[in-house]
Amino acid sequence: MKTLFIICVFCKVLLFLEVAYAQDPLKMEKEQDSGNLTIVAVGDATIEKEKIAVLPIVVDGKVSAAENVLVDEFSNLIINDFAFYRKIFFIPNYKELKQYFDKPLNSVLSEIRPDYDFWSSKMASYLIQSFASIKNSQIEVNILAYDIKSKKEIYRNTVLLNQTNIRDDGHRISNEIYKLITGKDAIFNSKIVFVCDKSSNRLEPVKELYIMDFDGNRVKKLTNHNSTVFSPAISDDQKYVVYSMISKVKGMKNIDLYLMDLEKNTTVPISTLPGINSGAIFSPDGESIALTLSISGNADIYIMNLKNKNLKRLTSHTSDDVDPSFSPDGKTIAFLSGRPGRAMIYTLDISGEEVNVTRIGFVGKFNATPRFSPNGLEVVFSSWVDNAFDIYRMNTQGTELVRLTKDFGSNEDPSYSNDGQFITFSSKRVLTSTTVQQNVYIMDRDGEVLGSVTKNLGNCQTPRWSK
Amino acid sequence: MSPWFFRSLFFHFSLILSVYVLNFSIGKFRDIGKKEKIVVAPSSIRVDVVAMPTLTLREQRQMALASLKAKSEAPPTESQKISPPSPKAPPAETKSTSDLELEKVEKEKKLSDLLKDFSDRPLDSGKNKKTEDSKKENPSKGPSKWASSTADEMKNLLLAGNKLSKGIGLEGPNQNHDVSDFHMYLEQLVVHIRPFWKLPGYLVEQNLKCRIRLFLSQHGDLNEVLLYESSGLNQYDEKALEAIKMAAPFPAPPESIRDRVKEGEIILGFPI
Repeated sequence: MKTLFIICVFCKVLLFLEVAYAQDPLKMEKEQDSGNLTIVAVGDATIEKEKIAVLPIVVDGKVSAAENVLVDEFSNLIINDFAFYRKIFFIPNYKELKQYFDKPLNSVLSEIRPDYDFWSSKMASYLIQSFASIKNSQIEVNILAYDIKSKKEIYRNTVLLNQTNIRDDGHRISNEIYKLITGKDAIFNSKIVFVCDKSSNRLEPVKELYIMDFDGNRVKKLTNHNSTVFSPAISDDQKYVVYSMISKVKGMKNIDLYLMDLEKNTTVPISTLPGINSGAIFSPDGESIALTLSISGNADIYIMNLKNKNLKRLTSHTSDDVDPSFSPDGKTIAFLSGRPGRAMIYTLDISGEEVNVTRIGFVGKFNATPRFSPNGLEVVFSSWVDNAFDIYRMNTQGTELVRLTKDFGSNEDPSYSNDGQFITFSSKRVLTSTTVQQNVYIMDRDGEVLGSVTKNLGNCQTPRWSK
Repeated sequence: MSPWFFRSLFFHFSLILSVYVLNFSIGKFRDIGKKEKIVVAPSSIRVDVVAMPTLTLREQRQMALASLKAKSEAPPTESQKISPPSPKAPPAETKSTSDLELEKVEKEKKLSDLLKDFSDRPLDSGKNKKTEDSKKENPSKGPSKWASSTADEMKNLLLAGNKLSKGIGLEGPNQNHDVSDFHMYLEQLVVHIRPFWKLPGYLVEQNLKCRIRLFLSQHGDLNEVLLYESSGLNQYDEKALEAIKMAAPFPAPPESIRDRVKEGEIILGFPI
C-alpha cells in the first residue's frame, strides 16, 4: 500500500511539473504579440489661462487727492505685474470687471467675503481684493487673495503705503500671491542692469551703467566715469555689479574690470591686467566670476575668486574664447570660441583647463553672447543673419534650435529672467539715414515681444537680468 | 477509512492548489521578465533643423495650428475613412484637375516643403551616425523619469537629427502607401484628443512628460486608462487623464486593429 502510494505520488509530481510548465503555443504567440506597445505623441498642450480678478481698492473714509494717487498706483502695480504673465493669466481691467457684474460694482466691492459662486460663474480662478483705511495719517491696506475653485482664502497681508516703499511692497505682495498659485517666484522683485549713452555727445562718446526694475521703473544711474562702460553683470543676490570700462593710463588704453557694491555704493577695480579684462559674469554662489582675459596673447576664459583674486584658467586654445555664461549649478560654462573657424558655441567643465569641451553650436555665420537658462536646459544667443543680429534659442545638446526674433531691427545681448519665462535684449532700429535708436526690450521665451522697457535714455544695450 | 486515504486526499488537494498558484506566479513573473517591445509612431519622430531657421518659433506654431485646423475641418477623404465601407456606400470621388492644382498650391505653403529647401541632397546615413555618436558623448543634463532602456531608445530617436520620417501623407501627390490602418487610427486619436489637452501656463513651462496606456472597446469607448509613466506631478498627470476622459468616446477602430486597441497597445505621450 505504501509502495503504491509512493508510486502514485511520483506520477502525480511528474504530471504536476508538466502542467505547471506547459506552454500553449498559440497563447505564447498571442502573448508575444501583445508585448508590443506603440507610443504616439499627443503634442504640446494648449495653455489654459487662469482668470485673476483684481478688484479696485475699497477705501474706508475720506482720502486726499495725494492719498488717492498712492492707492491707485498700488492697485495698478499689482495688475501690471500679473499682466506680464499674459500667457498664464487673464486680468480683466476695471471696465471689463464692470461688465461682468449682474449686481452693482459697489456691492461687490463692499463684500467682506467673496461670493464664490458668483465668481465661479464668471470663470474666475482667483480673486484679489484690497481694503484701505486711514490710520495715524497713513494709508493702511489689507490685501486678500482667494482661490475660487476651492472656495478659500489663500493670502492675507497688511502694508502701510508711502511713496518710498510702495513699489517694493507692491512687487513683494504680487510675488507672494504668484508663488502661492504657481509654486515659483515671479520676476516682480528682479532688476535689470544695462548701459546707456544718454550723457554722450558726438565728440565724446560716453556710456554709463544703469539699473532699473524689471518693468522699466525706477531707472537709476550707477556710474559717472565719463568713459565707455560695457559688459555689465549683476550677482544673483542683487548686491554686486561687475562691469568693464575703457581706461586710459599714460595715453595707453586698456579694458579694466570693476566691481561695484550696490549697498555700500563703492566701486573697486578687480582686474587691470594688460589687454582685455571683460565679459565677466558671477558664479551662482557669488564667490567668483568667469571672465575673458587676453594676458596669454589671445582671449581666454578664466575664473577669478573674488576674495583672493586667484585666477584659474579654463581655456588655452590658440583661438579666441570669450563670453562665458555659468550653468545654474555652477559646474559648466557656455562660451564662444573661434576654434572651428567661426564663432561657435561650446560648453566646458570648470574643473580644469580644457575639460570636456563640447561644441553645441554648428550653424550661423557669427554667433554671440550665449546665455544659460535658469533651469540649465537651454542656451539663448544672438546670431548674424540677413545683415542683422537675431535671437535664437536651443537646448544644451545643441538641438531644438528655434528662432525668436525676425524683422525687428538688430537684436543682441539676450539675457533670461530669473524664472526663465522672459528674455531681455537690446534692439537697434534705423530711424533715418543718420539716426539709429537702440533700446532694451522684453519678450517671452517663445519670442513674443512685450515691449520696450527703456525710453529717452539714448542708446541702451547689454541688458543683464538679475537671477 | 484508511489513514492512507486521507493522506492521499490531502496530497492531491495540495497538488491541485499548488498548480494553480504556481501557474499564476509564473505567468506574472513572465510578464515582468518580458521586455515590452516599444515602437514609436512615425509622426512622433522629431526633425531637427540643420541650418539657421528662417521662420520664428511663433510663425512655425501658427502654421502648425492652421494645418491642424484645416485637417480637422476638412471632410474625410477616401484614404482617411477608417470604418469599412457599407455595401450602399457611394462611389469614391475622383478629384478634378483643378482640385489637384489647388492642393499643390496649398502644399507649397507647408512647413515640410520649406524645410526641404535647405538641402536638395539625399541624407547620408554615415553623417547621421556621426551626429548620433557625437551626441552620445554628451549625456542629457535634464532630469529623466523614464526607465533607462526606454529613455535611451527615445533619446536616440529624438537626437538622431537629420532624419526625416516618411510621415503620414494622407493628401497630395506624395502619399505614403505603406501606412497601416493602425497608424492612421493613431493619428485620428491624436487629432481627437488634442483640443482637450490643456494646461495652466505654469505647468507648461515645467517641461513635464507623462504617458497613459489606453484600452478601447470595438466601438471606441474608453474601457480603461492606465498611468504608464508619471510626470512626477499629480496635477500634470490628472490634466492628461482629464483630456482623455473628456475626449471619449473615440472613433471606432477598424476591425483589423480592434484586438490591439482592446489589449492596450496604444500609449499616449503627453506631450511625447
